[in-house]
Amino acid sequence: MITTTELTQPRHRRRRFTTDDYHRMGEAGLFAESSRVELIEGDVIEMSPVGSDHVGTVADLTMAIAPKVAGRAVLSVQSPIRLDPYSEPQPDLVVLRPRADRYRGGLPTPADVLLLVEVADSSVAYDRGTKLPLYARHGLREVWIVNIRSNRVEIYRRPGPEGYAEKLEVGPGDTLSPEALPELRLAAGDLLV
Amino acid sequence: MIELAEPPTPALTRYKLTVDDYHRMGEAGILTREHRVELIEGDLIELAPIGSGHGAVVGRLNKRLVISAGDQALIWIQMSIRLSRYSEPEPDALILRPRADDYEKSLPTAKDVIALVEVADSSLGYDREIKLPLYARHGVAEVWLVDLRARQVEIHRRPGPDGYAEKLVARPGDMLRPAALPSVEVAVADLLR
Repeated sequence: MITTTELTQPRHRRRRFTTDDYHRMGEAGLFAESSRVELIEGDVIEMSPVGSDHVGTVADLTMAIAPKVAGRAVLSVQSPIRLDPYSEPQPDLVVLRPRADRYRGGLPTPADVLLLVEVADSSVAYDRGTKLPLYARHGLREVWIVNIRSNRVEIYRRPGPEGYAEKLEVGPGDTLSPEALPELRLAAGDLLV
Repeated sequence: MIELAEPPTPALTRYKLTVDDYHRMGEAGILTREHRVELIEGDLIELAPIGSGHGAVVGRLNKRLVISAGDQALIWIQMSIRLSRYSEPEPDALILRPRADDYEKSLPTAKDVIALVEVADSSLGYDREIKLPLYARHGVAEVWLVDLRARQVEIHRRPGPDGYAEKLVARPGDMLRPAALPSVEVAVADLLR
């Protein structure tokens, strides 16, 4: 596959896809053989098939968060959010503010997201290097990366164009609580091994 | 656009479009005439608008080739050739072996090509670094690279996985003749005035 750095002539660029292109490509039957795809800055990225550690961690998160936010917020698991005309990622989990249309009328946007969680095993470099800066640029107020390999949860807050200004890390003995939902308190040990 | 100099992790890659995907995007109206693109190794590459210098040389080339080839070869101008499941470029000119159906039933492939021509101005780097190695890998027998800036034509022959083994340079005063069909000839001086 060609990388943009190989294209020495700036006038020959890879075409960027809009979210509209991306949905029409899906409707036309593209990506049918891919496990999961997401649109990141105009590129369709194929996500690796998720392993059992990943599945179990997402299930733990879902079961831990759902009862505590019921009635106050909306929990959406492995579903897309729309960041801009060129980016529509599928985070592992997002906690959303309630919306009158119950998200039938349009995908969640950055202002809807109270907390976003990515579960990372082999994908940690992609989550940290590509998706985290993207989330920061779009002002997503808080992101957690549940890092399976290090058995830690990384907490990112105070987004800006250059990234998240605040980073915390917690281990299995600590408590987690998103700033936008202080009543939601989780034992990190329920997510980590 | 993200600069994927290498994929963020081995498991995460940009989705590679197949030639079938590419055609379905055309049929679904996602790609239209407004989009000047070609499919190179699974990426849609945006083509620069054709300048008058480039257009004039392609026009002269078309005229000379059609007159010289007669019924010995088909001359295709800025149309598609299918190289693989992931690559369908649009070279400036193709000198093709005659086929009973005039390539109506399926696009030409590398083995149908007597010679392929790219006319390069600002696109020289792209033509030389991306497209020439692609043509060589797929066994296109002969490529003429018309370099408008240097006022010469590079003739590349003997394709292999690592590129073309033979390179000749023709200048005004020289004749261009495909090795596989030397009765077809074009004077360099007729192209580069």
